[in-house]
This record gives sequence, structure tokens and C-alpha cells, in this order.
Amino acid sequence: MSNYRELVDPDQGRVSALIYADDAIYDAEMRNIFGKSWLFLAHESMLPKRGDYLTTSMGDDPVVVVNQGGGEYVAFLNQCRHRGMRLCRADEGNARAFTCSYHGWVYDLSGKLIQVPHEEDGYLGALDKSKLGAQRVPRLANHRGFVFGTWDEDGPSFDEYLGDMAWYFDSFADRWARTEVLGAPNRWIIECNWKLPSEQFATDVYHAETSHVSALIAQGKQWVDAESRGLQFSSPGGHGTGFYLDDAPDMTNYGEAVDQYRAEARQKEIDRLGETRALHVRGHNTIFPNFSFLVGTDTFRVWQPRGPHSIEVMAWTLADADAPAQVKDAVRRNAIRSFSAGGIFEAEDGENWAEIQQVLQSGRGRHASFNFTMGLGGAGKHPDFPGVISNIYSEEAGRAFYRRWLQLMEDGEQS
Amino acid sequence: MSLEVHFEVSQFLTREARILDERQFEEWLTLLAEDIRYVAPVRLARMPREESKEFEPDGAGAHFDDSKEDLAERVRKLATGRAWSEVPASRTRHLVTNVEVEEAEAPGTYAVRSNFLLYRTRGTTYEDTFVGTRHDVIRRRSADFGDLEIAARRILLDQTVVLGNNLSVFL
Repeated sequence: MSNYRELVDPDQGRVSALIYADDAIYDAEMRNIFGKSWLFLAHESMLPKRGDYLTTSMGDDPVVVVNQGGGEYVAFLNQCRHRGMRLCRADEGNARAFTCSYHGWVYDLSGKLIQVPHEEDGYLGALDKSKLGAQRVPRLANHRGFVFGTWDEDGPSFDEYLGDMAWYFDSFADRWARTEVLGAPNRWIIECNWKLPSEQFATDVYHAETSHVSALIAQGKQWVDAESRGLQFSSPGGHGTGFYLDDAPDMTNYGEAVDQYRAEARQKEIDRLGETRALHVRGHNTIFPNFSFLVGTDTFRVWQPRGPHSIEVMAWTLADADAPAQVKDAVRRNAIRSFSAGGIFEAEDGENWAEIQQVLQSGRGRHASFNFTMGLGGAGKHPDFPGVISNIYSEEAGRAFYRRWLQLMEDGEQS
Repeated sequence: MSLEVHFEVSQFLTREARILDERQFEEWLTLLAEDIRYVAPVRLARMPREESKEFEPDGAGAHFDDSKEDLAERVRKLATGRAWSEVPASRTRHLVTNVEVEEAEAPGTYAVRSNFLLYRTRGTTYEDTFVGTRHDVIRRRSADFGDLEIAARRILLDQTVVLGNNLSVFL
């Protein structure tokens, strides 16, 4: 048993590098963090018809998500109950049932085992198929089209889990009456620990002016200046977001079609979200532990852990489903040009995280202590924004992320 | 297709590969038509019945979907000297093979297929290998030998999940 409290001290703003680079800690995270948290599975528009499925993962566990029809979704572990073969081997598609390609066990769309070859002459009629369904994710929640799931049977509801973060999440999820994901995800591997990107999207706009300076210069745009004011929200749930208070400080160019549409759509967004949220809450976000999004660029992604030193990124673009095709196309092209493996912003993020991880291969590097003290003691309440609020240049949301991490890791040791 | 045109187009692609590997990105831009579309659709693992949807269609998931201005923006970014994913610069080698050249519909344009292997190394041990095929539309600018431009490039990567920290390179 690790003494996590020695490794992570959020109140003093200290985090040991070991938590990013240790096999035993990673294994404990899969149980204690990913086994207990609400994890993103799919957006409704990815699976519009009954039988539509996709394969993704919850932590490092592969799962299948299936549209059951009637607005119902099911997720189950992508593993046959017989010998553990991967049940569904495509990225997405439409199916009537899932047949294991090892011995031919057949599961229906909800993961129930419905047919087994040689049931009579092999199993002598003694196999209880009702007990051999695929391992079902026990609880799913659909928040404005975003479907999350958790392995935790008794934990908080998704709404309780989000807490005040729901108000900020809805600046993305509820900005338009109908939302739509534009195409299959960008997927790529970054050789880094999953917490590096998750924590950055929760707490860190600080890096942008240094890390992304080349993209900002190339665009010839003044993104923000020293006078720009912004706020950061942090949460006991480990969620975080940062946003500027001036109007629409986009990091990226959308082109005329979108600019004009956005100007027209602005009043509708204000009607839905209120002026404060519609105009200002447009920043970087993480819903603990590994779901992140950028309002404005309209990318959202999951940082799927793949061992302590690697992640698979799955990134999508969200759009107003009722926007003209030309606008959706501009939004999509802008999002992938700025935030994807080939994104002019995101390329530098991957470089940072992978280089950090490389240094953690060294003994001294791995036992270093990272500094999370920015804005320590500077958080409080704000009349217009729910939750704990600090200046945007703060690591308060990072400290909250690791406070939640510590709580779950310690809870896991006691159970 | 005449031997001469096939040779001319092949030499053009070889020259383009060298220019990229020499990091002469502004010169590379001069090989591209003003109306170029540079697209790399996302690829998916699909069951046989849905294999026709292996590559995302136009307007859906893509690694790149760039205009000339978008590509010029990428080049401006690299030229700042502060594009950290390329500082210090990657060492790359574009190997271009299996070139097939056909007359396209518009006069003076060719539908060109080629396979590529892009080897990239950074730092001391970092390596990427991106492999795929390219469907180019190559357009003649003048009757001068080799005076061609790339009017469209569709890059079909073999990886569904890109096995690299980023794609800050041109394919």
C-alpha cells in the first residue's frame, strides 16, 4: 500500500512525479479512479439507429456501446465470457448481434448471451446462459446527448458527480438546441501519463502563451493580452475550467461563414445560457478524470490511459446540428487544424507531455516534486459564477484535481 | 500514358519529397496549386459488410482538411522557430514509390497514385513511421518539363490510431 498523502499534498501545492510513472500506482488508479468515476462513452449522434455500436474504453477496459432503440444505450466489457476473446473487433458499425469469432458464442445488442454452439452435446444442456452475459456497465447517464457510464453501482448520480461543473459543462453541451458530432474521432497515441493532459485542460491556460506562441504568431492574431481578465473554476469533484471575461477570445480562425453565423446565433445562445455564460464561459475544461473539451474550438476528447506511460486520445468535433452545412464544415476543419494530432496547437501539447514522460524515465526525474502553488490561497466565491473561483492564472483546479485523486486513491485502499 | 509524362511526374514527386526532407517548406508551398485541398481522412476498422465506409467521407473525420492558406499557416508556424514540436527539427525521410499516372478528366491534369513511407526521428530515440497511399491530382502549369503543381492530395494512412505524439509533418 502506498502512502499517497506523502506523494500528493494539494494544500501545499506539491505533487510527486512518481504518480505519473509508477506501475503499481497506475494499477491502483484503474481500480480506484476509473472504477469509481463517471466516464464518457459516446454522444447520441455517434449512434443514431438501433443496433449502431462503437468500441471505446473506460480507463483501459475495452467496452462496446450499443444503441438499443427507444433512446436506450447499453455498454458492456468487450470480452467474451468463455475465453476472454474480444467480442467486437470493429471501431463502429451496425449489428443485429455480436458473435465471438473464437467459438461462436452469440450476444444480443444488450450483451445477453443468447446462443452457444454445441449447447446440448458439448455442455450437456447444463450451461446457464442467463449468468453469462457480457459484463454490463451497471449505470449509464445521458446528459444532453453525452452518454457517460460508471462501474460504481452505489456512487453518486451523474448530476451529483458533476456538481457545479454542470453549469459550465452546459455552456458546451447545451449551447444549441441540438448538437451533433462531426465524423469519426481523431485517435492517436501520446507517450505520456493520462493525468498530464487531464490536469492541463482543468487548470492550465498558463502554458498557452509559451507553448502555443508559434501557432498564435502564424495566425497573426492577438489572442489575449496582459490586460485580459479571466477566471478559473475548481471543484471538489476534481473538475475544472478556465475562461476569459472579454468577448469571444478565440484562439483560432473560423473564416467568414462561421463568424457571420455566430454573430446571428449569439442571441439564441444568450437566451439559452444567459449572457454571462454564453459570452464568457468559453474556455478549457476537464470533467474528472479524463474527459476534456474546449468551448469555442468545439473539440472534445477522452484521454484513454494505456499504461502509466501512454494514452490514446480520442477527439471529436461538436457542432450545432441546426447550423448550415457550410458552417459545420468550417467548424470541423478549424477544430482538426488546431486540436488534433496534426493540430497547430495540439502538436505542442503532445510534445510537452511526451518530453515530461521521457524525463520521468530517469531516477531523479521520477522522484522530483512538481510545483502546484500558483494562486494558493487566492480562491473564493464570485457572485456570477458557481463554485470555487480564482483568477484564470491559477493552479487551484489542479490542486482540486489532485485532492479528488487523493481522496479516491485513499478510499480505495480502505475498501 | 507516355513514358515521358510518367518520368516527369515521378521526378516531380521525388523532388517534392527531397524539398520536404530538406525542410524547405516555403519552396514546398510553391509546388501547390492555389486551390489545393490537402485531406487525410480518418480510417476505421470495419466489418466486411461496412468496408466501403472504411475511410471517412468528405466533411467527416479527418487528420487534415487544409486549403493552401491553411498549409501556409502551418509553414509560417514552423518558420517562427518556436514551434516546439519541431524544435529541434524532426529528421524525416519521405520515400515515395509505386507511382501510377493516368490522364485525368481536365486537360493537362493527371490522377497520380503513390505510396509513401515517412520515417521521422526526433531527439535520441523517438521514431514514427507513417505509411500510406496518396491520391494526387497533378496539374500542368506550362509545357516546360517538370512545371507541375499539386491540385489535390488525398492521403490514406494505414493506421487507424495514429502511432505518434503528433502529425506536425507533411505527408
